[in-house]
Amino acid sequence: MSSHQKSASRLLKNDIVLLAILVVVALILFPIVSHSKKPGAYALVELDGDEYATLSLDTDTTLTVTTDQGTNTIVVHNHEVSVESANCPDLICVNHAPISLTGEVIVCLPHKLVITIKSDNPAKESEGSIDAIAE
Amino acid sequence: MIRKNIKYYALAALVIITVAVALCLRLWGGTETTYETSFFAMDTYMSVKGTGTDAQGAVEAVRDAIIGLDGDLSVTNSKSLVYELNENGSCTADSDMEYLIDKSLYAGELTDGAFNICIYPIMREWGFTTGEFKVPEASVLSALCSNLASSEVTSNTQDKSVHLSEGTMIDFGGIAKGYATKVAVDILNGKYIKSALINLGGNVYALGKKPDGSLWNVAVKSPDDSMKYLGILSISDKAVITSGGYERYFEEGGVTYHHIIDPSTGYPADSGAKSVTVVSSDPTLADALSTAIFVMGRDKATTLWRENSSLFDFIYYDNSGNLYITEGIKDEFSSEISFEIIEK
Repeated sequence: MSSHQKSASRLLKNDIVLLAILVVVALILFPIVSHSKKPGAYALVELDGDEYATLSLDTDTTLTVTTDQGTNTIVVHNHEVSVESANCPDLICVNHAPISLTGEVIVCLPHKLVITIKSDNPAKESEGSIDAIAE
Repeated sequence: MIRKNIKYYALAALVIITVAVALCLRLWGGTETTYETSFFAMDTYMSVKGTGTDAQGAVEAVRDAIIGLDGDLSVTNSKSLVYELNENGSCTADSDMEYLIDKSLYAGELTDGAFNICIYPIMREWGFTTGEFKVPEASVLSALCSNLASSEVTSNTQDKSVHLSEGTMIDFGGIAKGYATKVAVDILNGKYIKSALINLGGNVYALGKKPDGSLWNVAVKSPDDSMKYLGILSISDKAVITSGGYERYFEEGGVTYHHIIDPSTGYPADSGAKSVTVVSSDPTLADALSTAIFVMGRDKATTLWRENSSLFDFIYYDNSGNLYITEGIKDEFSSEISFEIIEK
């Protein structure tokens, strides 16, 4: 082998090693990065099936959602979520008791608004927890 | 220059290796997946979750079937079969309507009329169907009740024709979600889904067991602010359906009027029940019974249950805060409050 070919094969080997390392690093980082949302419980607000907002239950807040369908005022207070007011005809969302546990849902059907309590922490949702609420 | 080409080859090799690894993981990780979908139908929010080899196909088939059913059963949709029946007083039933009429008449007999699909004109008068709530005139309700008492639905099993007597209009609202659940379960079973959780606006069906082999935990919502749940059921292959006045009501003149109308009076049922939950492997029947028991009250419901204890169980919470369960579910039910077991 000429010295030119020898050094070429070593360089190629180094390239492959570098690429392999990058792949491994990417595979390790990807799942970590994709799960870096808010820790703990939060309320997912969806409009017509699309994610509109996420509200941490840790912070008291008021969110007014106005669309062509109508207006709903969502309140997070004391780790619970409720709909304080709305201009839908049946007010079922307003009459609904505040929700706070993973899986609980308040729906405003006329406005296509869905509020779901979610938890990022799988440990909270382990044994003994509730899979569904009959209501 | 040679190095550049090799670099591209290396990159290509990398991509191929990554894809190959991903595929292998997919195969070695087992062929079962869990798929969940949520959608609006029958005036409520629904979600279906299933685990199996074709979970996505099965769950989406369920969603499509329920949305189709919604269109077919809607009283307000002029294209629905029910609308045609109510408009013309007759129609040719499809298999869904056949099943529903059959089951509805059966539930009506079982409950002595406490469940009655002919209640539609009364529901409409109160505004529960349109959202324009009002307390009807007593004379109007009285006339509607006599009308209801003489309402008849007849179906011919040979030519599938259905006839309504004069002035009769039906609404499957009190049984539709239960039937949709049955349709969903049939589809999931047909696609070999052994583990699923169906939630149709609070009507829950737990199919099989959870993917980890444990029973499904279904909580029963409490109508009171003082506690979240009346209790939790650990179940498999059962429907859990709750009825309560607190779900839909309006206030007028300081009085609360809820949507569970007693067919014999035309007014919201006043039997002492605050929340009734029926547990059964027959979701259609469970839906009808949950409404009926709320109208009947605990004593009549207990008599009914003692004669049919293999068909269903129920949980009864009354206006005084007392909780009762029938003994068929005593091993499945747990609660933070005390409850009495109704024995056979």
